[in-house]
Amino acid sequence: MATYGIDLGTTYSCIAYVDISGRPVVLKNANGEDTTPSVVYFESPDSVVVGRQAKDSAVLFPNQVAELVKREMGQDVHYSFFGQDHTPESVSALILRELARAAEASTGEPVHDVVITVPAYFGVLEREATRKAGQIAGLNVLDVLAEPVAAAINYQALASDSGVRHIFVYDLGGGTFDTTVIRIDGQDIQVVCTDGDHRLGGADWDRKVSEYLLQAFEEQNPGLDAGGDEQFMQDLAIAAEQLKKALSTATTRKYNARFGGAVAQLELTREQLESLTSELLERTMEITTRTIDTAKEKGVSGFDDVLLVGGMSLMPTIAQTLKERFALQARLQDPHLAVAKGAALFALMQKVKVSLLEEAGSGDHQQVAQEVADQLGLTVKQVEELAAKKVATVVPRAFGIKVVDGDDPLYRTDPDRARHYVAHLLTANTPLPTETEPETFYTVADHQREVRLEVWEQAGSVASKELGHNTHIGEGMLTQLPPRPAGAPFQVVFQMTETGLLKVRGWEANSGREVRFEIQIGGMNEADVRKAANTVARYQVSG
Amino acid sequence: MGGLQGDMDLHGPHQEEAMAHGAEETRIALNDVTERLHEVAEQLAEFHRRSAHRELVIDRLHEENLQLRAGVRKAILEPVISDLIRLYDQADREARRLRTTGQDGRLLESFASDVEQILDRCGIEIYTAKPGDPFERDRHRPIALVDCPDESRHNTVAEVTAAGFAERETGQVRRPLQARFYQYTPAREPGLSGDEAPSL
Repeated sequence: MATYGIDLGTTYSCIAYVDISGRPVVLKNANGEDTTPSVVYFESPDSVVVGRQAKDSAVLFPNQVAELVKREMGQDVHYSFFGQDHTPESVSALILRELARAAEASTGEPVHDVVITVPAYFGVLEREATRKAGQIAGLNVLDVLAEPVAAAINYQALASDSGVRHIFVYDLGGGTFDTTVIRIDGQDIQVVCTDGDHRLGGADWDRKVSEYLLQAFEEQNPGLDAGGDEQFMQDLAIAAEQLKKALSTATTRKYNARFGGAVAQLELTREQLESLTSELLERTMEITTRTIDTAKEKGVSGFDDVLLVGGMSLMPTIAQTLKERFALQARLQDPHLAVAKGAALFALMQKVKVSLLEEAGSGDHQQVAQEVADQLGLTVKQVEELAAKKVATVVPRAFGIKVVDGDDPLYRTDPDRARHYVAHLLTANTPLPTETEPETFYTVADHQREVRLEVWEQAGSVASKELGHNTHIGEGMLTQLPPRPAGAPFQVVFQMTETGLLKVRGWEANSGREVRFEIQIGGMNEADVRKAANTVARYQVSG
Repeated sequence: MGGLQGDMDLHGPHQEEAMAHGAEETRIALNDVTERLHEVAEQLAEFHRRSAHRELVIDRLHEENLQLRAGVRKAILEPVISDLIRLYDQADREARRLRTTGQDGRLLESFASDVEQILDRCGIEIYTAKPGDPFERDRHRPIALVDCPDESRHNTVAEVTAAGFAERETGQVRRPLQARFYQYTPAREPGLSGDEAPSL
């Protein structure tokens, strides 16, 4: 059975698989398009429409349409359609179901095993929510993969064996911009750092061109309210996108704008386009500078490969500016579909890995590895090496324990009212799974018989000790401590799994008293997932 | 005697040893041949397996090639059809505008008609809608809403702003019809300000 890679995007999604000749191929949707708008229209209590028609329906039925749910993935957000409760996970599951349905119609084979991609900045919570969306859709999610890593796989950037390598990925899509540095060291692939602007993308470039065209039309035809006409503005938006795309290869393009009997023959050159949108490009370069600086702080001084991803990166000025400013020689290949295709290749590798684990010692895994090797034109050894590569997940935020500030004068007299802060045990960007070194804390009162271990998670983008900058996520009690003077030590250890399960252990060495508790970082529990899966399965989905 | 001696030697201990040695050599040789035959068989099986896989790939590529050939013309025509649809939209819109202002729009209408025929020869059919037609999500694209006090006209076509185009052969919509749609807005009772709701 084939495996599939799914690029579950904020505005558009895409599904691919590796065909019998070893090429990753994107499967077209019901309308014959490579990408499907990530929009769901709840047409009736038991029928939903996904894609372009859903997007069009939003004008008439705004309360029955869900879009941009990826931005809320993993958050405690609920929507209601025809009285049925939905979450970002269940809406995403409906998008996944439509992608799978279209793929099945195209290949004639059921879609079961998939790899779903997520942005590199997604934390454990969002990654797990994405995995659960796949489960709710009835899919077997082999793995959740960072989008830039998927792109790198498509560019075959991971196939080389030449020691430690660093890859810079510049991803400028329709609605978001991301930069990521990936480190490949033997079998380990890790995201070193990531940055971006999730409100910056191709749509901003289109808007600039559209504004320019409208202004040029109005200058030639004053007194006409062309800007107030929806049809004219829609035509202008389409023309702006077409002009922008055309100017990636051509140096000049014309457009005849007509309204109310008036005509304006407008011309746009590549230079004008670059000048109009220079501020937008500059914003991406600032983020690029920041990412390179962060990478430097983490010991990455150069890049072995620079990959351009996303349709917008086809603009020649991007590669040129990266070269001029940073001496980065960028590679560009199939930027629109690189993520889905890379995910499809990774899914195939995962299939070998799963087979290796399940069929260890038997000849079956060899057969699977052989089949994959045939498909990809590699040797079995190469396939097994690729399958052995591990993509590390990092903990996106810091986690710690709430403690009393010993420097606060109130600490001596009234510790309850003294300043409290969060002592972080687990720092952001630590690869998972991980276990911290035992951290020693002390009791604050004489004869203190118990300690409340409050676990707090970093809430903002930067780690801070201030309670207000952290969120309380769980707690446990270390009880029956021997009566001792204040300042008696006890230890705490944090352990976090790849799926975001935080295990906390606190103990007092002399008495042997111990407390252990677990916190699942956010997300739906198994019962919620089953319930959502039943709900989603009831819908008739079409595209 | 010599022959006898020879015969005796043949049946003597040395001879047995020689025979045993010969048998061992034969066994080793046979093992070697068997092993090599096994290798050849394995290589042959591998060759057949790869050949079968190659055949599959060739069949798939051939199938794709046929599909591509069939689709190449269509792919080449895609941007031309997009531009023709745009040309039709513009000519038709201007012809309608002239009509509404009491001018003669027949010249532009004739150009729009020519474009329609060219599109028809490319396998693209035009379709339209009347005011009052209900919204069809697979064929209509609403571009704006028009307030309407009549609830029965809610979500029906108010005005077609651009015709729709579909492939004759498959029925697949190439560009949905674009229209303004009625949106039911209950008429306000006279004397009520915008923020006041009628009390029951």
